[in-house]
Amino acid sequence: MKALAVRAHALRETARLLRRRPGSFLLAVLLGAAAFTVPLTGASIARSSATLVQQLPLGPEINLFLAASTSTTEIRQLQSQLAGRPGVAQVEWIARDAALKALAERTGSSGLAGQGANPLPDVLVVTLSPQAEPTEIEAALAELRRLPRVDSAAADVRWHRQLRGVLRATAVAGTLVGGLAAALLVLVVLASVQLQLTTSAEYVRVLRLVGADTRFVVRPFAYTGALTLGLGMVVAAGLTWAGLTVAAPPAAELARTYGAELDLRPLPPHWQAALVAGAALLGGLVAALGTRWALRRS
Amino acid sequence: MLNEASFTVARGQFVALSGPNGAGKSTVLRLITGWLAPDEGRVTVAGEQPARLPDAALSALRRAIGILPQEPHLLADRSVLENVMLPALADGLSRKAAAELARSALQRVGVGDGEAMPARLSAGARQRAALARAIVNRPAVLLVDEPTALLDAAAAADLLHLLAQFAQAGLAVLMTSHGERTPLAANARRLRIAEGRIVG
Repeated sequence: MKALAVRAHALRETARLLRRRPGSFLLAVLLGAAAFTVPLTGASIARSSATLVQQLPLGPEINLFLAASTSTTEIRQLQSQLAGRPGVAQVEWIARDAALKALAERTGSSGLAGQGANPLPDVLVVTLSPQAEPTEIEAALAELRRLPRVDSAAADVRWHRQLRGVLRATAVAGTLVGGLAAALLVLVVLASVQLQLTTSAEYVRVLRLVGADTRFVVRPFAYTGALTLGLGMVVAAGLTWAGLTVAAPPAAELARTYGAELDLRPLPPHWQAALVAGAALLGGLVAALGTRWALRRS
Repeated sequence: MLNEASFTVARGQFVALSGPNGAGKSTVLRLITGWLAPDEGRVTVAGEQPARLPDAALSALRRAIGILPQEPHLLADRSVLENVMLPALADGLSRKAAAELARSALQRVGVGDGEAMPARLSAGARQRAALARAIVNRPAVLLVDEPTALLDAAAAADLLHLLAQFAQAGLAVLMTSHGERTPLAANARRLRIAEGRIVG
């Protein structure tokens, strides 16, 4: 009963705080929304394109061109031997007949498949683990090239190096954006709390005079912080939804030109609800700590 | 700085601690409320030593002590009744129970129903409203810091009369006063403090 009463009082005081400086509160909510929108949009796009990304051949591939005289049994043995090597994710055999047929279909040269002598070799495509470093790829390439029945071997190490660079840069940029957003959110809440404490100095003085404990003093400010970031996340979710709604048709059209499907969507409602709750919790926590710190200093 | 300042205020007593500026009157009040801790010696309030209490217990003790500051410090953005309710709300009472206690306290000090905003009250009425806030939690101890400094003679006399009544009703009342000429009720005891010592 006592716990309910003090929280009911804190809610009334929160409403009083917001009525006192509605413009500052609105500004803090909008700043919070701005800070949330970028990572939220990034997360929505990442989730929408997850299937697409999973289909990308991220593992480096080494093509082994086998000697024309290699028998099917030898190819199968080599395939099995390669599949058991450490760091190898998959070994695919592209038979020379199948390769010729595919080439004929792709080029529209129906005469190719009918020719007596097939100029194409059997190929084993060795896919390494996506985590393989370029130096490891080069070492594997050199080693596989020396295998019996292997005429030549090729791998696009440069492309893989570029891909890894892009992925690393994306991860660093994502971390930076996330870190900046988090720092901005903490600053927004702290600045907002400081402003409210300044305008509520007399209220705090009276509460201390009448023996209110620290939690009683802090609670309305913590609730205000929770509301600031909670509502900020709600606004950010709205902005993200609007942005994705506008961007989804052209993005889908672009993906279709590459033969892929892409449906940009906001995060599922229960994820968004969890994010709003998490944001409110973060806001409340930062505001409570900020208020306690300010009270200790005063 | 206080030195050899030893005295007791029992229930039902009204003690006026008077002395010049800087004599140590406010230090005594700060020691009693636990805002200051003594380097030596002991301050006991209702059986507790404020300086030794943890934060929550100290807050609880402060809620059991009524404090009337020199300036009333009524919040301008809420009615007198809401101002007087604050200590009861801080003590965890519901709004309804706090309002009942506040109305009763306001009645005891004669400030009507408390629906008015503080700015509409006279200086004397504001000080009495602050007194109502000090007694709303029915404290056993009432600390009063130079309450008549900002009042005219009639309002000051009214307030002192009220304080004497509270002492008669069983409260331990300790009042600081700048001037020794502050008229006191018959049941009041005057202590003089100078340079941190009780001198008479």
